[in-house]
Amino acid sequence: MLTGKGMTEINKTIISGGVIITLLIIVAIIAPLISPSEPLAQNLSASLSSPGGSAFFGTDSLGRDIFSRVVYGSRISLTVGITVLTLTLFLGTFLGMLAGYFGGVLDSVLMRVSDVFMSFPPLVLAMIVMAFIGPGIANLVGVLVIIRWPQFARLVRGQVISVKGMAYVDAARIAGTHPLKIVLKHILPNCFAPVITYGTMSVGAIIIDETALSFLGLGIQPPAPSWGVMLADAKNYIAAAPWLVIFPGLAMIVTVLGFNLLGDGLGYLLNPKQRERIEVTHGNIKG
Amino acid sequence: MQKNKMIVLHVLVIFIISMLLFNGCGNNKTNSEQVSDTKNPVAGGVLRCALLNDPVSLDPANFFEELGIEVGKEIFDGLVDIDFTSKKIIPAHAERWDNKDNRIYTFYLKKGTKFHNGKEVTAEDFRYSFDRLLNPATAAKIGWLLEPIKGAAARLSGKASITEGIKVIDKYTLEITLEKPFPGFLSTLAQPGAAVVDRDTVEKLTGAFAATGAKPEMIVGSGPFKLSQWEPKNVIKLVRNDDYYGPKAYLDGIDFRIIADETTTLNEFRAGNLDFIDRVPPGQSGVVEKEFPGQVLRNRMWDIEFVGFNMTKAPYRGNAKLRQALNFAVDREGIIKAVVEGRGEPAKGVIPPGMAEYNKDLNGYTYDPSKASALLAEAGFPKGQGLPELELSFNKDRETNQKIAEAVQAQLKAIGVRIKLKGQPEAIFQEDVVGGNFNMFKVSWSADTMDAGSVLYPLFSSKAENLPRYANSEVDRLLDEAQTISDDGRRRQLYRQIEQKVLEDTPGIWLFHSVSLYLKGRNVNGINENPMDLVPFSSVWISR
Amino acid sequence: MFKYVVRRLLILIPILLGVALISSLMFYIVPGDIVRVMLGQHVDPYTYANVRTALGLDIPFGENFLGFMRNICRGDLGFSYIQQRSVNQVILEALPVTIKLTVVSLLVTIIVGIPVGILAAVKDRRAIGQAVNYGAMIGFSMPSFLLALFLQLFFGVWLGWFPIAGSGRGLISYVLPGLAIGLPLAAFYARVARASMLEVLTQEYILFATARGLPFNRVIINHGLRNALIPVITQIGMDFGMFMTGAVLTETIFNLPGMGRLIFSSINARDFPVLRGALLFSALIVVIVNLLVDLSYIRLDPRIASAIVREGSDADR
Repeated sequence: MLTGKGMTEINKTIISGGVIITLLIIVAIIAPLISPSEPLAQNLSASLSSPGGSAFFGTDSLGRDIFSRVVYGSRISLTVGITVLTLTLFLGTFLGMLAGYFGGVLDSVLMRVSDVFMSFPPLVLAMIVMAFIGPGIANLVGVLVIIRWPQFARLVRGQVISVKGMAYVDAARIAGTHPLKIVLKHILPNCFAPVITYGTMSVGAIIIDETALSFLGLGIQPPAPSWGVMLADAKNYIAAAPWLVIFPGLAMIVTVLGFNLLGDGLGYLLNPKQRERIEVTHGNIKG
Repeated sequence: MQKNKMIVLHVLVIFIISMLLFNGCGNNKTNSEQVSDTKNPVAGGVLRCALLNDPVSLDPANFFEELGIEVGKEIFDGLVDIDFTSKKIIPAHAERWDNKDNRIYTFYLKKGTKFHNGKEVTAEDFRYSFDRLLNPATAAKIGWLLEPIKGAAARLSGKASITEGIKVIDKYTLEITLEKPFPGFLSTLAQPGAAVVDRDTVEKLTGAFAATGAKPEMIVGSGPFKLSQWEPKNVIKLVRNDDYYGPKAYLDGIDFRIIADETTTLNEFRAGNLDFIDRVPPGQSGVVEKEFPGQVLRNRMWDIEFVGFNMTKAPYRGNAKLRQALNFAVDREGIIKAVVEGRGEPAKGVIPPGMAEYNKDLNGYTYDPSKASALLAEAGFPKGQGLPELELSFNKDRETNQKIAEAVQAQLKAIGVRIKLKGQPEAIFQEDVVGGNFNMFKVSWSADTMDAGSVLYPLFSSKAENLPRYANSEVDRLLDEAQTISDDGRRRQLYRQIEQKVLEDTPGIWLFHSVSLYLKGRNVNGINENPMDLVPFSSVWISR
Repeated sequence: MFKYVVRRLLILIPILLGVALISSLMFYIVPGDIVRVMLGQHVDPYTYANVRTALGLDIPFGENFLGFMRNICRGDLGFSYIQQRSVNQVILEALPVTIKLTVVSLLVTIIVGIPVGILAAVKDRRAIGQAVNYGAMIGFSMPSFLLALFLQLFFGVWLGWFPIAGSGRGLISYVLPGLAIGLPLAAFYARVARASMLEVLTQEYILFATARGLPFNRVIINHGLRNALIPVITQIGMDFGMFMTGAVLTETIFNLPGMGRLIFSSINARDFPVLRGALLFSALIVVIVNLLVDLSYIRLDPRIASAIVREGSDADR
């Protein structure tokens, strides 16, 4: 299926995704330089002004500049996305590795536990936990990691099991190589490909989760300029001030699209067969 | 090559469409017809309004929620009523009454007044109805309403089998003795929950009487309207009581349609299917005022939204200048316009305009940032230096609180005072406030009687709930004195004095008094301002 | 075969038990006094004592939980003290709304998603296939609540074609919410269908069939489709839970009084009996649907059926 033309297409996907994400990161870093105002600065007399003049995206009900808030919001989304991904990656990989390599009781227990987690619709689980432990960014990151690790663990476990059966691993074991060395030298490298692909695509889903929870008031708290918080605000003014919905919404779509494109491209690049399997098993929050 | 362009194109197209469209959109209906203004009320017509949900119960003992009260107040009557225009207590079943020191009230009932089922209403019926509210077996949600009555506490806890303070003198005379003098007691008796119920009906049908969807023959009151139909999730219909002992209502009936959503309610009104709505969805206030000129009524409520300080803690304790500085730093008009869409009046002090005790010459607080900075420096914190970060607690289940808190935070920051916001779910917030576990808190306090004491006493007397933990012995003394003065004029004057004193100490930042918006059809008349948000439908009429 | 069904059922019971257990634990780990949290600070002592007893807070957890399980077997999911009516009633009221919404969303997803995915696979080398693939990518990047807001804005406010809130106007009220949930999922399933179809198209038997001279379309429909659909159906089954309770955000935005909004509002109102009942009920539905999906597998793919029969008494799946 992969013709020469196919390869350039894959490259284009990776590049477009990469470009979007790089731009996003740059925007997040230089946020103070490109924002006309502080994201929290209010101007009550300019409440709900439509885009124009110095406020290119308009203002919200407290007169805060939407453009500045969207730009600073990118910092929140990226931070949460990458932090959660990193933590989930480590936790999921570690546990998946253990389960896959040692098998037996450890494996069964892990599988059952992850089953229970996966049978709760993730958003509902997140909502309930956040409602109890209280909102805030630390709690949010914790909860997002809790709902995402089973999928990573399963992925890694699957990889480990398939690699474990290969001849060279058996050979290494018979030769008496320490299990840790086997894992690090032979098994781990084979996990990279699917984990990276899946991980990249997960960032989009994580950002969506954070936005959804903040939208419900259970994640990042106002007045912080998270896109979810901005959308929650916008909901009431949808008829009177549509710009409150449009700009944070577009920002979100573009961001998630960037990560999805990159992940997609990487998937094709690294292993087309694997990519199909990932698409079938990975979940997303579609509330 | 197409794919990337495709994506960019998609995004651009969405962007361009949005830019084009939202610039030219909005509701362009013009309503140039005048509101019909016939002077003389005519009888006839059915008023169609909306409720967000079915009331939990039409039993007066459960009139703790708006829905039940809105419907029930037309069906049930009590001893007295309130006329908000003249700010007087007017007769309902009681034609006159004696008041000794605001403590012993004797009511003389009108003779020949009847329940909807034809039975006559007597003093014994009132004794039964009030005792029923205090009877633990009823588990009345509003039992606390009659707590001021002597022996109420014993009755509520089950230690007594009757309420000591309620005595039937003869068939048409009822005497009520209170535990302590309480000038707001007559207002309390005007509340919809303090109504007379028919003992036979109630005792036969407890349970069914109290539930949703009760049948008309179970809901027996003595008010200007009768229940004719209750279809849960659909409609509640009332019809005029032609045997009413008082002035008969003009409307033939009232239909309360159950519409679970404010936007749909507004749309139904626009479509002409509703005659009156008392709740405009957020974001629509400006739109509605332009769309229906002359049909929007601003209803000033008897409440005060304010930020209270914990007067037992630093830095508030002992530093009046600081507290005053904070008051001058807040842009009340800005908040009203931006956060509550103009539905408020800036508060110079505590007592809301519209209450008889309101002092229009009050020496109160306004928005004056330079004065605020000056006072702040005098208080020992020039430009806010030396002040720790303060924490503002509020109930985040009420949407506007979040925005109000953010606005206050920004405005105080402008003079150098830093605040951290602590929004909490309602139950936890209440616990914290009652327990004194807060630094500053934002709260809204409504007068539940026609007496300013119901605002001043609970908030500022060290013997009462006293949320800000304010303690001023002079104010305490004056408040207690006011409780015993039965002459309205003198008492009101005393309240004004008390308010002025409190404002010098200012245990809080006074933000604004709420205004609610009513929207009425062009041919609907007789909807008067009602600060407790309970429009009496008996004075409403529909012109042809 | 029968043994297979029974075994599947047996696995599902612990899951339901787990959900019931965790939701019952909620009552005990709430910060603060749970009765006061539910009914407010000023609840009178009489009501307070009544509700505490009724919730069984003063008897040991094990006993309380068993009592709850017994009630469930009788079909009683509890009583809401805040709303003053039984949880069953509350759920039965919310259920029809969610069912309608789920059906509409499912229709949207299947009608839009699968043909689009198949089209993209079949025309993969042409521009249109690629365009559709990337269109699906965008759709997939848009969470349903965002799409809900945009749809509300565009079709509800600007064009006024559909109601933007409430379930009052009958089936038409479900169009926008259904699209909001259905379209992003359609995009996702389109990609799954596409991937699955692509894999099938490369199989030898397809090549063989075309070589024999069968028209391409017939080949796709008769041979390719069936196999391609299996992963899609699995996924739909697994995601059914998403349709039901994941509609929380969409129902909130469109103010539809369904199960999703019920779960959210009971979390906010701290109405724990309703929350517990709703969660349990949703879990039950999800579990049943999963079972049905598994069973339908057997019809669709004879290879699986024979595998099951051969499996016999294997302990693990």
